[in-house]
Amino acid sequence: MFTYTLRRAGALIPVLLVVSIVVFSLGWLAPGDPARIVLGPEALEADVQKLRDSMGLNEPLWHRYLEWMSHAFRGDLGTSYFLNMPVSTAIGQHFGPTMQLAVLTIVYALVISVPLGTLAARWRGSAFDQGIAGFTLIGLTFPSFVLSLLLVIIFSVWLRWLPVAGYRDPFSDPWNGLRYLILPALSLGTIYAALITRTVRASVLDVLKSEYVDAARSRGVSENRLLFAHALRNAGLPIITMIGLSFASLLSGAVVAESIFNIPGIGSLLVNAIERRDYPVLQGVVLFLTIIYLGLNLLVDLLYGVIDPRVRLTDSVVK
Amino acid sequence: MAFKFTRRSLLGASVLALAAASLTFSNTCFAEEENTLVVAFGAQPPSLDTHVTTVSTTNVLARNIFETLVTLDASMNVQPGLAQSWSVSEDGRTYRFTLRSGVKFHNGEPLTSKDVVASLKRWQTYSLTGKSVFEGANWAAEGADTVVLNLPVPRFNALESLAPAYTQDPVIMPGVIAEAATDKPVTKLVGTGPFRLTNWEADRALELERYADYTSFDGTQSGTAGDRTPAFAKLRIEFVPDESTRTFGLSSGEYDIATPLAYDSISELRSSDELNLGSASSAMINLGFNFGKPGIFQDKRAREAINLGLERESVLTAAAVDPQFFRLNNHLMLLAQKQWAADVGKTDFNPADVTKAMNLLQEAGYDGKELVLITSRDYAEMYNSAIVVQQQLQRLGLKVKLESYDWSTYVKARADRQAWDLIILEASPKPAPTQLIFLNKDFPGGPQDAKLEDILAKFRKAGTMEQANELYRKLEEWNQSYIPSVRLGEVDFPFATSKRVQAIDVQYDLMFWTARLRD
Repeated sequence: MFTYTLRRAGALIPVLLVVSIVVFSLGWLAPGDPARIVLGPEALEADVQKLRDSMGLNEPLWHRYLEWMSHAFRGDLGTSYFLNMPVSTAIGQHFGPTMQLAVLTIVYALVISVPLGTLAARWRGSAFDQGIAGFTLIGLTFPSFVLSLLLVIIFSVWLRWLPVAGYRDPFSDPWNGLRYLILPALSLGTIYAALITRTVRASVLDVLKSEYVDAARSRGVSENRLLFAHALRNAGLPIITMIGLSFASLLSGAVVAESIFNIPGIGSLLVNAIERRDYPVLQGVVLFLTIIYLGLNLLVDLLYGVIDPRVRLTDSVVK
Repeated sequence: MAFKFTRRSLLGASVLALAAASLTFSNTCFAEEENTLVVAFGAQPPSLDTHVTTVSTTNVLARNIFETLVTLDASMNVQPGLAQSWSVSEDGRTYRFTLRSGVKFHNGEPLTSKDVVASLKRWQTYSLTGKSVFEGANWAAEGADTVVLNLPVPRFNALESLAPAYTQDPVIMPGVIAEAATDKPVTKLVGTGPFRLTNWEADRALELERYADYTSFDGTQSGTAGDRTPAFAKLRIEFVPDESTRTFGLSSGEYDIATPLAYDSISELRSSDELNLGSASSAMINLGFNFGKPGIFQDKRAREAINLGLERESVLTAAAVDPQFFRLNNHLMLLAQKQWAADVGKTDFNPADVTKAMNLLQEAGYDGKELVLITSRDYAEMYNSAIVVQQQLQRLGLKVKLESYDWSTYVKARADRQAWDLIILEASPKPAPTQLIFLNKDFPGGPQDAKLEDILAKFRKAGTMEQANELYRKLEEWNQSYIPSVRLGEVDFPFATSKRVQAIDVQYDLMFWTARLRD
């Protein structure tokens, strides 16, 4: 398994190289000028050109790429044109809120989806099961930005229970930190709850049809124990895959929710970097997200082996 | 007895959870943060260095931290600032400023003439106003509290140019910071202003606190002049790019001020008893011609046709929705800039004469060639006015293709003189007509005319306000005869405050230190 992990990690390098070249070229191809953004719309062209010179933007593209790569290999992703701070610091500052939101969203999605999915499988075909099917359908198809705005109107503007938008660090102010994350987690989590509920229901249904479940039931194992201890555990693989993929996409793609709820996360950092033509941040964030995405995929693969002893990870074949 | 999962138990648990949630949060509605003004601000500026950046939001935020040598009262008269007093030599070329005593920077260092000289030299080097008004000027320190400005020729607007403006305030920072700084924005933000910066979390918030050792200017507050001591202890500027989030946050009581607001939310906000609506920071909207590209608009008759044919009221209604937020104005300066009043061209403005316009276009020899009109979709007023302008131009028989871009691409496209024929320009107001960006020959597509350059050159050297006014009249005459761009009008940007904010003043934009809170 160790060799397998090493091989998978090594395979990341060419992927990252390709990603870095694509992102660098996209930054070059996109119209816009970071020096102009810094100096403002009315700055004269001569002043903009001078700043471009001092920012190194007039160097040939290949020269800038090689210089950036040589720094990146040493862990230096450059300095943001707009934020005036190292890119790694900017990523660090923005990753915390995204991570906290992703964890809360997944926790909320799991708290909803695992019992509902399991019980829907248990009471298959009942009114409850049909109700859950309806919930998952709405959850999957309802646009998340509409849900976000509905939640804001109900819980913030009408009831005034929760703040409209913003972010407080939950580590320094846990109660307020949590309050600011609840609405974004609800709006983001509903779609994942629906997705995971479907997966749980389908997987548990498969397991419930197995002979060993019948055998356990005939031995007098209680229904609840049978459902949650036996069936759910054995239905774990597809569920783990779904959770892993959901988590990875939450870490990289909560752009809409971060924008509506004004959370200074990695998604809004990426969008802002595009708008501001802040190329070092854009390149740094995309590289970082690629590593996160591939790393989580690898982690899910490794977890298969831990959860299901039948899965063996070797350096040649994944069974 | 072991717990059994039943549908009834599930329903019970759900009801219990909802009840618990309502009890938990019902008492947590927003406790107004005592002594703190919370502002939802539309965009984070690239820096707070007004010497180098022309972004207007930089100015609005920086003037809470930094101060200028002189200020402007509510009637736009020059008043003391960091300079307690000044004298002007008989030939109008030498200004001697005496600094206010006891003023300290936020780092505890006293303000000296060396700080002022270093700051204003840098501002003179990089800012548009500095370069335009103080070309060839020299700054010198005399002792610790006197600053001497020597001008090559008298300038009618030397003092006004040292006061706060819409963009690029000539702010004073410690000499060591100003001397070490280049054309890149400074990151050490140390001023003498009413607020001290305590924390700037990127893309999130700017936190400021009332400066304990603040030495205020004399007299009652009026405009940026007079007593500037804030009546509240903390100022938090939250960067909230989403317009609807700013509006919701204001309605829920989370923000005390939201700026700017979407024009289409005005009627809804106006109906609320909980909010007050205001306007700040006007901008001029022009339809510009590209003088850098050969084409139909090199012919004056074609420019005149557009000037006569457009119906501006509907363009401005599309741009700013409510008449409270727009005004028709064919003059170069804002209507509010009363020192630049001119009656040139008052009678035949906005005739919307389609027939005459079509005849003129025919005379100019328009051959049906497609014309490109560019605008930015990032600013609703620019995009919406472009849509109506395009329709009206098509009614005049012109074939117009509208290209709208995000702001960065728009600026890039604007610089490419072959890429467009017409442009929607949103220009910020300037203290003097000589600084108007759309009259600058170096601005992309800007007018190239010897007569204009002659008037501007004389204007820059005008020694008195009388001479300046006479030249302004000539400039207006030239503008309305040459038509370098079609003036559409001016728009204001709406903001709203909660009832907690009892009063707040505006000079160009919001002055947060003037806010009076209910608690």
